Amino acid sequence: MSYLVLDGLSKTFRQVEVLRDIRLNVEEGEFICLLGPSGSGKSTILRLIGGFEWPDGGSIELAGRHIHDLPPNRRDIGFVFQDYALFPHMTVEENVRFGLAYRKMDKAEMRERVLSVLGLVGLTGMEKRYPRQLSGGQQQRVAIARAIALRPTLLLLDEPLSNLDAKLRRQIRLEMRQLQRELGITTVMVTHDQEEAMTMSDRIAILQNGMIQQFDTPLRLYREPVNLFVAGFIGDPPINLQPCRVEIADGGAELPVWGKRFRLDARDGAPIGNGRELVLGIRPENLRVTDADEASGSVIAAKVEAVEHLGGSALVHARTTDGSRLCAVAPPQDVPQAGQRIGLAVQTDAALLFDGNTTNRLPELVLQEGRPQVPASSTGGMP
Amino acid sequence: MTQSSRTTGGRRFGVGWMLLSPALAVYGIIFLLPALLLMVISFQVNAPELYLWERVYSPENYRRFYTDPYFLKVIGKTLAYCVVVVLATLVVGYLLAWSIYKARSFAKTTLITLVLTPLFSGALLQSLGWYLLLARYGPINAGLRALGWLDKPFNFLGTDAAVMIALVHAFLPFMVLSILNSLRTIPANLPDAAASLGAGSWSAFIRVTVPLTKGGMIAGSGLVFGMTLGSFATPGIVGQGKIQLLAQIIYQQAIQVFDWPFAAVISLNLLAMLGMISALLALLTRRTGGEVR
Repeated sequence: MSYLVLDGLSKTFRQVEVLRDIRLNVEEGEFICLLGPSGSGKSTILRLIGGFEWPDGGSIELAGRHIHDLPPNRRDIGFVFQDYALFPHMTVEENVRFGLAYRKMDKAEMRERVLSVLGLVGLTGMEKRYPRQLSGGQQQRVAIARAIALRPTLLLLDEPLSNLDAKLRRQIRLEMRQLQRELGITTVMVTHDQEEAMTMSDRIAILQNGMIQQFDTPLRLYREPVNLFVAGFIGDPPINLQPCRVEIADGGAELPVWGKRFRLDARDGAPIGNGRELVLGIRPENLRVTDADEASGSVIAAKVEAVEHLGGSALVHARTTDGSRLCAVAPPQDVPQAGQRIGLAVQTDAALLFDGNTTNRLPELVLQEGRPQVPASSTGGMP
Repeated sequence: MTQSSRTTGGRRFGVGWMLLSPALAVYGIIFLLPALLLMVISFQVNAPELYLWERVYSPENYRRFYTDPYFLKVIGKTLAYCVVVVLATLVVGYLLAWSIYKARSFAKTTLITLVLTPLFSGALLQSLGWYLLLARYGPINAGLRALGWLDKPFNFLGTDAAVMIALVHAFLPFMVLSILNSLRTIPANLPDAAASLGAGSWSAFIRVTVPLTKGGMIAGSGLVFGMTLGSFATPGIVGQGKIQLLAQIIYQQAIQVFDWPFAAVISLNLLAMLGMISALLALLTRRTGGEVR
């Protein structure tokens, strides 16, 4: 049995279904992110676990205990709010000590706990300050200290870094993850920042329209997204997606796309189907910029439209002969100019294929190099 | 560099005073001048047949006011009224403000309108309302007798309780609005934060909500205290002349006895009490660290 189990949670606000059949198993000590666009229901899940909202259906189990019918003050869950929700009339020390009043602890023990927690978050010496005398980053640390001072069975973080500037966010991200590992505290964080989620989490649940699309490790989300939404949501710059249609030729299945005819294989003899609509996805880093005249089965002819220099690399925006736009990542020493004709070598084994109707990924289909002698043509020639 | 900036600063200072002067003139004429006049009159020996500038000066009025046990008793009674009325409006006002704060849109508007109605009706109308309700053959007497709690009609008018109830009713809107205003400035997730740290709703209310509404409570208390101190029509009507508060005494002395100097002494004492209370409340506000809004 997992440490935190969400089983079939649903929630409706004024006839709008916000969450539908949410199932999630979190292991003890894991750091989990709920990632999704705004309105996907991720904050609602967090508020349901925290007890600030009640589910319409389903159950929540934490450390072997059903908690969905308990009020928030009896759930033993630490919550860090987006705007920190520090008590403005209390000093840092009083804020951190707030929850200890409900534990059987004597004064000396409380003080010791407060000081040790403040030391953990690097706020030693700030005990007597009021929240308004602290910077945003310091306030955020107080909020975390206040939540972990109770040594809760679960820590919930609601976009805790979104009110900080980019540099501080990067720093606190690392510190928070380190602290979480040291304390071994199971944590669920809500964020809309995929970089934050990718760098901090053991696993990420991707949400859309109140449903979990995929719950997986960051790397697997990136490499093996279950559907078009996850593929498009994860990755920056975003994946190149191209709708296309299967054509069965005498040599087998082919995929005419980007002015090229790629071959299509199916594992274990799975059917492909003539005329089947697919979406081909290729990440920008799996497109390599080469010479325009390189005649290989995997090179697409394209013309550079714009180049974005990022310092360590560059993004090349190009248009293929059939008019599609593609984005590729180029190393800084080898960046083409706008207007230049280039070839884009497709790393076919990294290509992802999705069903055009269900949008689900089709792991049984494999993209293969096309025939190099076929001239680039948008229409292609039927045999 | 510094010199030139200092001169411009000085010039600005002068310009500032000139720009303020219309307001200052209004203040002077409306507030300062009458107060000064009051002070001057308070030292005069009463002589209605003489012009103000022909009269003799003496501290006699003050001596009389501070040594006469009757007036000291009135001061004591008036202050006691203030304390009771402030505490009662504080409790009832907080409950009302809280229920308005928690109410949904339609109920909220309705409740606010109901709370504000006494403000529109004026002291006279309100007092007459209470007069009718509390009268010997009014609905309250009828009800209590129907329930068997009263044998014969009892005249509630002229009792301290009746006057205090009428005053609480009259001043409640000020307290409710002050508290409601500071309730609204509390971030919505503070109670949630308190709950997540283990606080039950009552504990969260006492430890978070109440301290954060201190400013509203202090402001409301100051208003109600001052208004009770100066209340005239309500104690007069609901008290049927049996309740003598400072304002009634001032009226008596100025209008009935025609002893303006003595009325001035009482007025100045009332002003002084008001000043002290305001100072005390200001101090209280500063004590709370200034984060109260």
